[in-house]
Amino acid sequence: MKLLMVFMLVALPLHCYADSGCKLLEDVVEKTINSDVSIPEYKELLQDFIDSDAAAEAMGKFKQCFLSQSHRTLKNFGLMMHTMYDSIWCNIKSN
Amino acid sequence: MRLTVCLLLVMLSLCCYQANAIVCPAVISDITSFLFLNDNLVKLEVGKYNPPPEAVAAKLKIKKCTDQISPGKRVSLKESWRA
Repeated sequence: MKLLMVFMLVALPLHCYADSGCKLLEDVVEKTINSDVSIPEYKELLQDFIDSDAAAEAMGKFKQCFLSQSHRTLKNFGLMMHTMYDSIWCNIKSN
Repeated sequence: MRLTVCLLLVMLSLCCYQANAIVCPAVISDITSFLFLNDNLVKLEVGKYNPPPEAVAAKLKIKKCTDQISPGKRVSLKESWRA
């Protein structure tokens, strides 16, 4: 029982750190890659982060870059992001 | 002993909560290099993750497009995501 408790205590923080550390960021990345999300929808989803017309325009151009990609490229970009989230670089304590 | 275990679990849950609010520094570094550095430096940056070649190729392909966004607008992008 004690050994099980020790294993759980060790596993819990490792599980918590096996990602980007921020669900919100992962959601933004997912919306960026998702070709079903249009530019107006993307801007609306991120409106809390848009504090200027320049930022809004930049968000639109950024999203357009992803919308103009093939499904395969988007899938591989997602693979790159998850490779990062799952790496030891995101599995170590950051503070 | 039981009280110690309970306290430990509460502390760990608080740590995990903080982990969900703090972006992994490596991801922040990656976003910055993607927006502002050249392709060779981006390849160097992502190399440490030992990613599949097709994943790197996809990232660089999209970067060719985002590099067309003016530097000033890329700065406003980065600043917005820091909010």
